[in-house]
Amino acid sequence: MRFQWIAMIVAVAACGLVGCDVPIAHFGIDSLYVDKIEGLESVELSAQQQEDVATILTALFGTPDEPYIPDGEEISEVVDPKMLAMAAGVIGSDELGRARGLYREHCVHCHGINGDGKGPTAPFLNPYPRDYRRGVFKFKSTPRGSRPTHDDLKRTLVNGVPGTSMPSFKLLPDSQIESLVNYVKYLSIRGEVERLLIEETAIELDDGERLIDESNLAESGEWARDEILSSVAEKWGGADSEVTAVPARPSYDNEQLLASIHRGKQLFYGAVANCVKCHGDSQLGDGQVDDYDDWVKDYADKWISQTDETTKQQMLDQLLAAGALRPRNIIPRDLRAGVYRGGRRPVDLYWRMHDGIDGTPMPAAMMLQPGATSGLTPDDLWDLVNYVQSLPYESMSTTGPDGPVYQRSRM
Amino acid sequence: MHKFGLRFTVWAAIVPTVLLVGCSESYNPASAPNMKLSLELRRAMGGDSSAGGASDSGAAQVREPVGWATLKGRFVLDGTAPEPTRLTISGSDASICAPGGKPVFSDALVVGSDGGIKGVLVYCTADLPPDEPFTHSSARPGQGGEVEFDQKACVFLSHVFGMQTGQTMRILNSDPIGHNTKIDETPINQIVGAGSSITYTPNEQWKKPKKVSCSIHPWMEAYMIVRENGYFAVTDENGNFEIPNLPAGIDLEFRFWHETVSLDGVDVGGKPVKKGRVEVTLPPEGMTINGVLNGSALE
Repeated sequence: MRFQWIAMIVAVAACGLVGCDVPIAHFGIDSLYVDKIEGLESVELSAQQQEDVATILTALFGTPDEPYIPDGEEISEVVDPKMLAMAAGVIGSDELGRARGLYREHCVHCHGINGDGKGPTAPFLNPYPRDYRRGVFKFKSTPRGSRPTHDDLKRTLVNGVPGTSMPSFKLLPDSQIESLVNYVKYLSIRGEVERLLIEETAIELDDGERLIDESNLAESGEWARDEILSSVAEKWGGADSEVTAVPARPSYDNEQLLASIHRGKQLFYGAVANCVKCHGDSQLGDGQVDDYDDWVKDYADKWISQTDETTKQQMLDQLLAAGALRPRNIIPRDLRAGVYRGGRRPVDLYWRMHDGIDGTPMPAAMMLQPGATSGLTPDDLWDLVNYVQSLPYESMSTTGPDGPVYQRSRM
Repeated sequence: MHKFGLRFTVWAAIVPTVLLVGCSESYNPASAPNMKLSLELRRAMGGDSSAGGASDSGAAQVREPVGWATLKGRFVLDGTAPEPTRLTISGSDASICAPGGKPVFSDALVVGSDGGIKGVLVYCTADLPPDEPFTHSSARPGQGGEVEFDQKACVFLSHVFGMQTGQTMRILNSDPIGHNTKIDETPINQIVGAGSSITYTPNEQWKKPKKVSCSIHPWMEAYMIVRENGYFAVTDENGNFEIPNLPAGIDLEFRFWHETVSLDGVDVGGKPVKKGRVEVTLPPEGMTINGVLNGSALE
């Protein structure tokens, strides 16, 4: 009897010691994008073709525990492989006490192991966490379509995104923030390369044809690195030279500032700036509220344009079952709340208006071009910045271009 | 053996089993990389990233073209065309976009009275050297000129169109209200003030069409493609298209695209379009496609 007790205790204890395997983190594949491209190109990617995409990605980028960046002129200017170690892997520290696994400590629960913005907390957040894999970021100093600069991403990490669940990481040492910025760029570039490889497989290859030529690995590998990866890295490398220059804000005395705010108000309602169409008559962000952002449109385009209710519901069920987050409309900012997600400095607001907000319906302003009769000047934009900054302090009953527009009267 | 002893032994076996089973992690093998191959691939890349940059594209054309040929054809729908989809006009601009509550219909599928399908995009994707005898002077890349893209009553006047790199797209707004024009996956999402215009000059060709939309009026949609050479066409309201001056006698690949209709199965010189594409060699006398699409395939 005693022997059996001991045997059992030993067995259970052994079990506890061996424990659950720490699951090996893996990046997985962007299956929603595979589904989308398959639909668009009327093809079906075979298991082997999908494995090849994952294999090339692993060759180029390693794994979540052991990230890797191939040698290359373009990529080395964008991501510092030495900076990745601190952010990658499991949470802990090395022999010298330096932090390890910062991404999994601070980011993964919302942004996901591969940066897909679908960590376990994501369904509960509004807005959803950013999916890095398209290389598209909202709050930056570069034009639409350009990648953010290193400093743009760093500013978002340091300040957080006010009005969302993204906190400030101001209290982390600079070296840790630098490491995380590098890691975000790494995940983003990896995601863009993944999309290109999926597109390449669907568009360029025949049924069952493979992306990797096993008889000529050098050629397959160099193609992936020198054509696909380089094309993505080049875009990131060019960001610093694409920053939108911001002319100095004019200096105003009290009267001039009031006049500027008044001009901004006229522009807000006018047909050149067109702000009113989306931000609404009372600037509450209740103008055009039926649109979606590009991250949602990326996987739910067909669902959005479907008009038949039954089919629409079926499509939604399929999307959710495939791992999509429930699509939400994108709502224009309530300009009276005084909360500015991309930063509250005048320069931040200027950039938002001048370049629009990438990935969203917010367009770039129509700036006055040489020879054109219509368009905004930099001073016009500053008038709009001044007006927007005055809105949280303006009484609701003084809105409207020609007089008061009460919320109640619009219902 | 003592009877409790057996029970304990059983428990001692079951508990660890349950614990072990409970720990397994699901892992989708479809997305799993081949780790061994990925390391071999990495090794095979070598350290020198400058090598291997030279591609053999274009130079691999073995045969020389034997003159110029025309690809033309017509796409028709066999069966009844579905009722056009009525668009939902929302927002404060309804008086301009749908004056008097007039219904506005989608341009996604436009079928002519005799069945011709409008808006089928046909483009040649062969990697052709940009000069003769492969590319005719009329289709040569880099030719300038403007392509007008207008909008009126909240409708894009060109629903499907192509243009060449080097050309400038002039985006006009003929409405008394402001629009914004957004082209997916490009830098363009810009306000176009009432009665004014903006320009966009794409500098690289696209593999597939991209969507043009207006965020203020989300029902507005169009599609466009940018190609280096001029070998593309869009079917007119009778379903006809024509691409002249293509190189004859060499292997060419064509893509066929429509916003809502699959063109698979259409016969091109004895070969069916598969996955929206077909490889053909044009005879000098040219080729005519008669694409008959089964109406029952449409929802």
